[in-house]
Amino acid sequence: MTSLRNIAIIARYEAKILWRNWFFRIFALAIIIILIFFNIGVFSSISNNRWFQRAISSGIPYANMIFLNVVQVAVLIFLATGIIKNNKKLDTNEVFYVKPISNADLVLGKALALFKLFFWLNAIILTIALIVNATSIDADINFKAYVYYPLLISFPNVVFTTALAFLMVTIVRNQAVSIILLLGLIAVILIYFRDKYYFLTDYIAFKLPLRSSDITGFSNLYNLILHRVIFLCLAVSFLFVSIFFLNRLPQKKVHKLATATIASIFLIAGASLITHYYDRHNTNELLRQEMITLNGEMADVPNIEIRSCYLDIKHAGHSLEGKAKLEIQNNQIQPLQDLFLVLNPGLKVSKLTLDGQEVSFTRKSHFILFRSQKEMPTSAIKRVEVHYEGVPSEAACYLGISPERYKKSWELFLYNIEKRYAFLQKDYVLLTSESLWYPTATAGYNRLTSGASQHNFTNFKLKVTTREDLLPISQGQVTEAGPGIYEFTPAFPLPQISLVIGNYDKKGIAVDSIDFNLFVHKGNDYFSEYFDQVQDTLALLISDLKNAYEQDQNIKYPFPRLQLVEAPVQFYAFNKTYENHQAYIQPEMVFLPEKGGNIGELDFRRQFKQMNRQAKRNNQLMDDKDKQANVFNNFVKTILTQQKNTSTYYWRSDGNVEVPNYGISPNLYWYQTGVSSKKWPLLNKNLANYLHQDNRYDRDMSRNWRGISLTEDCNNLMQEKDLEEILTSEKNFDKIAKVIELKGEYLFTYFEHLMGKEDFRSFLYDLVHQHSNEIIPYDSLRATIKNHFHLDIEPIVERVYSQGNLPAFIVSGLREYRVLDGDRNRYQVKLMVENVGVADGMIKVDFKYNKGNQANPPTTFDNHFGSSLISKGQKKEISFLLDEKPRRIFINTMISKNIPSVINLSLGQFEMNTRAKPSQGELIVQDEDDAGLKEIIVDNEDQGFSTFSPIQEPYFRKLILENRKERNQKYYGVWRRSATQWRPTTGSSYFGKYIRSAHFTRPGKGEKLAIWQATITEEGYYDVYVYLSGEDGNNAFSQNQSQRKNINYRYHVSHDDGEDEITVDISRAERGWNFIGSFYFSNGTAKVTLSDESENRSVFADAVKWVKQ
Amino acid sequence: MKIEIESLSKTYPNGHHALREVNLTIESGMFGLLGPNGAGKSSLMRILVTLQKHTSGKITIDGLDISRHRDKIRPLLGYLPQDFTYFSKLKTWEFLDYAARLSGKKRKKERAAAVSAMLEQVGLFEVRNRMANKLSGGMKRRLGIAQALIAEPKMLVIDEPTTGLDPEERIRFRNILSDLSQKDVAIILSTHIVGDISSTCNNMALLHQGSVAFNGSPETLIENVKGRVWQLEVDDAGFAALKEKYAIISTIPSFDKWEIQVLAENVPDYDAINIEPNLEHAYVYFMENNLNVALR
Repeated sequence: MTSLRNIAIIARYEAKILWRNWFFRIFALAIIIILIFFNIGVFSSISNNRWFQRAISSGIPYANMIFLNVVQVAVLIFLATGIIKNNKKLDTNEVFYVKPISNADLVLGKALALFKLFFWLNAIILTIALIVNATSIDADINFKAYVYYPLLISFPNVVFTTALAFLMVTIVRNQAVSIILLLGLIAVILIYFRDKYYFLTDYIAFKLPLRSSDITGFSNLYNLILHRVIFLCLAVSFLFVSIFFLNRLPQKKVHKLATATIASIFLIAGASLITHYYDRHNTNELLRQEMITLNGEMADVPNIEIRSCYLDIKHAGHSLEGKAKLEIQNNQIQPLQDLFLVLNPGLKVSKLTLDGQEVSFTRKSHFILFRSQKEMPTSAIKRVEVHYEGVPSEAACYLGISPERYKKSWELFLYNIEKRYAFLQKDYVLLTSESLWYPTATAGYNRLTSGASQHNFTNFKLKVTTREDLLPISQGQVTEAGPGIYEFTPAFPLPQISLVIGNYDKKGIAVDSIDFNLFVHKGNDYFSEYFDQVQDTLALLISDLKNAYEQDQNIKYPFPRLQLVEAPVQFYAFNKTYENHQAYIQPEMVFLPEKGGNIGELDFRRQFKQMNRQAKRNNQLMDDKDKQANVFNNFVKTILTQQKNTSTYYWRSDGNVEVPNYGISPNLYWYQTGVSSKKWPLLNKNLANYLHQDNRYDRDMSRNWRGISLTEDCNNLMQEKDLEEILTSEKNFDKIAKVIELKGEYLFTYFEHLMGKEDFRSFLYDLVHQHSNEIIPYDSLRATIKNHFHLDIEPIVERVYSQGNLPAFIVSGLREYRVLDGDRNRYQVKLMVENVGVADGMIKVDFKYNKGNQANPPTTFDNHFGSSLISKGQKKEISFLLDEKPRRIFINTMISKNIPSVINLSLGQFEMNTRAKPSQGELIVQDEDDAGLKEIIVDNEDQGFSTFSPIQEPYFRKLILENRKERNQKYYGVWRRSATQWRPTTGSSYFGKYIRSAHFTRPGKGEKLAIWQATITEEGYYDVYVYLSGEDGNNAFSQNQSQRKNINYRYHVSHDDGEDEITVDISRAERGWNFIGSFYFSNGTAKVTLSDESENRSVFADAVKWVKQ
Repeated sequence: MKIEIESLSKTYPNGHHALREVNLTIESGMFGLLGPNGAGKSSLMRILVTLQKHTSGKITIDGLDISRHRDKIRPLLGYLPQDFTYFSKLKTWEFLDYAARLSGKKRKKERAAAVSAMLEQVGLFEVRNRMANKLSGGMKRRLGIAQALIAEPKMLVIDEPTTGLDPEERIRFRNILSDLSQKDVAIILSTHIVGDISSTCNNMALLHQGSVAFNGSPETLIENVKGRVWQLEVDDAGFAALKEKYAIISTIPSFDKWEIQVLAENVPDYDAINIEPNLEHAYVYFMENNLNVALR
C-alpha cells in the first residue's frame, strides 16, 4: 500500500521546503551558536569550568543532547503542526491528493521530512560537541556515546513529538490551538510531572536518568530502552491514526482497515509496554512495602546474634553464589528455638544447615525462618551454614527512606543520574551491608520500631572467587589464594563489611604501619599527572595529616588500612535517621565518586589554577612541589578528615541533608564501638556527633527567605509533636536531622555542664578505647558514669529526649567594657538571661573574634565558651572575662521558643571602665522592682501594635511571594520585600522578648502605616523613643561617614497638643532606643505611627517606648 | 479513454443536492462543462478526480469503477483546480520534478528531459530556477497545467482554466489544450466562460441545478438558436423600452446610441438584422427557453 519510494520523494521535497523556512533557519542558527558557546564555555580547555562536567566520557554528548532536546521540541511543534495542517488554500493540497500516492505515503513522507531535518541538526550539534571534546586536553572521547545518546534522547523525542503534533492537528483541526495545547503539555511535563510515575510522562527525556558511567555503563539499560520504545510505539500509532483521519479518500478501501489495524497494534503494544514498565517499578515498591511490614512484625522477636561470619562468595557473571558459615549465639535472657536470619530477597537460599544438620526453613521475603531442634539456652553457640545464590534486589536498600526522598530525582548540572545502591554486573560488583548481601540476624527498618540502630560486631572472613582480570576489594588483610581467588581477613570484629569487584588499579603506600590504598578504575586515573613532584614526600605528607587528625580527634585511627575506592557515578547513599554517616564510608574504606564527582577539591585543574592565582595575589613564591602538597592536603583536610573550616550555605528548609559526606570519622567511633539502647536509639548517633570534632558548619540563610531559620522551625515542631512522632511522621528529613542534632547538642551541653567539659570528654575517649570492637550497652554506660561522676544520666536523657515543653529566654542588659584585672587589660561582657518559658533550659555562649591582619579577616568560632542552666522563672546575670577583644557574641538557646534561637549581637568598642571589678560566672538575680521608672514599651509583637496596608497584594505576586507550602507562615524573609503589605520578620537585632521581630515593607508614598498605641494612665510629659535595629536595608549603620546619605523615617506622634511629624535620619541614628521628643500625654491612648515613606530600600517598624519624665 | 457516468447523485451532509441523476459519457477529446455557479460543476469534477465520494450512481473510467479503483485511476489523472495559486518554497523546475516523481516517473534522465520539455511547452523554461511562489499569476497558472500534464494523464480535469488570464495567456492556454486533444486524452473543462468551450470543445454538457440540461456538441446547441438572434440600434429611451420586451444578450454603447443583441423569434417594431448565433447566444437561449431562467 505504501511505497517507500513515494515516502522518500515526499520526504525529500518537504524537507527542502522546511529547510527554506526562515523560522527553522533562524532557530537552527541560534541553537548552533548557543551550543557552540555552551560547549566552549562548559567543556573546552579555555574556560575554567568544573571537572565533573567533562570527567565522565559520555558527559559532553549527553549534555548537548539534553540541551538541544528541550529546545527542538518547541520548534518541532511549530513545524510539524504546520506541515500537516489542511491548507487554507485547499487546492494546493488537492493537486497532490490526486497523485497516485497513498495517504500513508503523504503523512509518513512529511514526518520523514521532519526527521531528516532534525537528524542533520542533531548531527551538526554533535559534531560541534565532538570537536570541543577532541580539543579539550583532559576530556576523554567516547564515540559510542555520540551514537547512543541521540538514539536514546533525541530520536524518540523527535519521532514522538512529530506524531503527537500530527495527531493533535488531525483531531483539533486548527494549527494555533494545537500549538498552544502541545506547548502547554510540554510545560506541564517539564514543570509538574518531571520525575513522577517513574518518568513515564517524561517523553522528552529531560529528567530521565541517563547518566552513564565509565565503570558500569548505563544503569538499567533495559528500563531506559523500554521507556524510549514505549514512545516510539505510541508515535507509530499516532502517525497511523493521523493517516486514518487524513481528509483524503484512500487509494483503496482496504488501506483504511490496514491503517486502523497498524494504529491499534502499536497502541496496544505501547500500552502493554507501559504496563510492563510500570510493573517493573511497582514490583520494587511492593517489595519494599512487604519488607517494611515484615520488619515491623519481626522487630520484637528475640533472635540470636552472629559472632562470626565466614563468607565464600563466587562472582558468577550477573549473579553471585554465596556460602555463609555463621557462628550464632543466644545473647537473650530467654532460651531460643525459633530463629531467623535476614538476607536480600533476591538471593535464593538453597540449603541451610544447623550444626551440620540440614534443616528446613521458610522464606518470607528477606527473612529466613528456621527452628532449632532443641532450645538454645542463653549463651549457647551454634553453627549455621547458608547456601544462596541470585541477584540482590536493590529495592531492599534504604527501606527507612521516605518514598519522596527515595524517588526524588538526582540531578547534577544537566545530568540526571539514577540512584544506585548496589551493583552486580559481569565486570563490576559493589555491595554494602545496606543491600543485605550476606546473612545478618536483625530485622531492618519499620517506622513503628525505631530501635533500628542496633549493630553488633562480628568476626568476618571473606573468600571471593571472581574473573582473573578483576580485583576484589574488601575489609581486612588480603591474600591471593589462586587465580581469581582472594581471601580477606579483617584485623578485628566489624559491624559490617562491603565488597567491590572491578577492573581496578591499586596504588598503595604504607605510612606508620597503616596501608593507604587507592583503587582507581583502569583508565580513570586523571590525577597522577598533577602530583608528579610529591611522589617521594607523599609518605611524609600523609603521616603529618594522620597525626594532626588523631590529635584533633583525640582518638587514634584504629584500622591497619584506609582504602579509597572509586565508585561508579550512580552510586548513592542516603543519610539515615539513626546513623551519622552515609554508606560512602565503610570500615577502613571510603567510596569516592567516579573521577572525583563534583568534589571541588578533586577538581585538580581548578585547584591548581586557584592556587596559582592565590600565590600571585599574595606575592608568594611556591614551587610545584609546594603547590602539589597544598592541593593534596587541601583535599584530605576538607573531604576526608574535615579539619578545615568550611561552611555550607543553605537557603531553604531542605537541601543540605542529601549532600554526600566523605569524612572518615565513622572509623574512629561508629565502626569501633557504640552505645546500644533500645530505649534511646538516638543516643549513639548524638554521641558519635559529639565525639567528632567537626570544623564544618552550616550557614543557614533561610531567615532571609522565610523569616525564621530551620532551627526555629524545628523548635516549633518540637512544641507540637514529641520526638517519636517527628522521627516517624515528619516528611522533611532536614527537619528530622536538625531535631536530632538539636537534641544531641542540648544533651551533651547538659552533660558538659554537669560533669565538666574536659572531664566528660576525656572520660568518653577512654571509654571508646576500652571498648574497641564491641558494643557498650546503655546500662553499662549509665553505671560507669554514675560510678565516675556520681551522676545518674537517665533523668537527663529522659528529659532531653522526651521533653516537649520549651524554655524561653529573654536576653537583656548586654554590656561590654574593658577592665583592669591586676595589670592586665581584659574584656568584660555581661548579660542578663531570664527564662520565662514553661521548662528549664540551657543556653550556650560563643564569641567571635577578628583574626589575622588581612583586609577581610577570617573569623572563627571559638570552642564553646560557657553554658548556663536556667530553670524556669529564673533570671541570671552571666559574666565573661576575655583576654581578647571579641567582635560578636552568640547566645545559643538551642531548644527553646526563642526566635532567633541563636542571638547574634555585635559588640561595641569596649571602653575602659575603671570603676568596675572584673567578674566571671553567673549570679541569680531577683527581679528588681522598677517602681521609680515609668516606661511603657509597645513592641510589634504586642497587642498595641497594628499595621495599615490599604492595598491588597496582587494575586499573582502573592502566589510567587508566598510559596504555596509556606502559605501559613507567620514570618517573612527580608529578601522577599512586599510592596503592598507590612510583613513581620525576625532577627537578633530587633527588639523583643524571646521573639525578636520587626515589621517591614517596601517604601511607598506614605499610605502604609505602622501604628503603636499605648494606654497612658498617668498624665504628664513623656519622652518618646523608637527602636532602630540597624538592619534597615542598606546597612546604613555600617556605611562610612562620608558615604552616608540621609535616610529618613517619618514618625507621627499624637499628643495633647496635636500631632507632630518627626523625621529621623536613621543613617545617623544609634542602634537601639532613639529619642524622638518629649510630649504631654493625658490619660487615654497615645499613638505613634510610622509611614512607609523613606529613601531606604525597606522600612522597618519595631518598638516604641514612652518614658515618664 | 471513456468515462461513463450513470445516475450520479451527490448530496452533502447539510442536505444540499449538488448532483441529481447525472448521466454522461465522455470520450477522448475536449469536453466542456458549462453551467451557472452552483450548478454542480465543481462537485462533479471533484468526484471525477477522486477527491470526493458520490452518494449514489456509478462512474467508470475505462471500465474501472471510481469508488473501488482509486489506486488505478489516480495514475491516469491530471487535475488543475480553480485557485491553484499557492506554492510552497520550491523552484519552478523542482515543483514540476516533484509532481513528475509522484506521478511515477522514475528514471532521472527521462524525468529531467520531460520536465524541461514541459517547461518549454508552457513557456516557463526561462524562469525554471525562479521560486514558484514568485511567479506571476499567468505563469503560476501555466505551472499548474504543467504539473497536471507532466503525469501524461489520460483524463485531464481543468476547473475554470482561464479566469484571471490576459487574452494572450488565454490563447496560449487554449493552444496547449488543443494540442493535447489530438491524443487519446479526455479533457474535461469546466467553465462559465462560454467562449472557452466554443473554440475548443467538440462535446459539452450543460449543468443546471445538479442535472444535465444539455449534452451534445456545441453546434447542436447553436442550431437551436439559429434565426433568433437579432442586432439593432436604439437610443436611451428606446433601450429602456426594449429591455421590457426582449432578452438582451449584449449591449455595446456607441456615440449616441446603443448597439444591442436580443434573443427573440422576431423583432417586429425595430430595424433589426438577423445575425449568425454563437455558443453564448445558444447558452442564453437554452437557459431562457428550456430551463426558464430569466436572464433579463
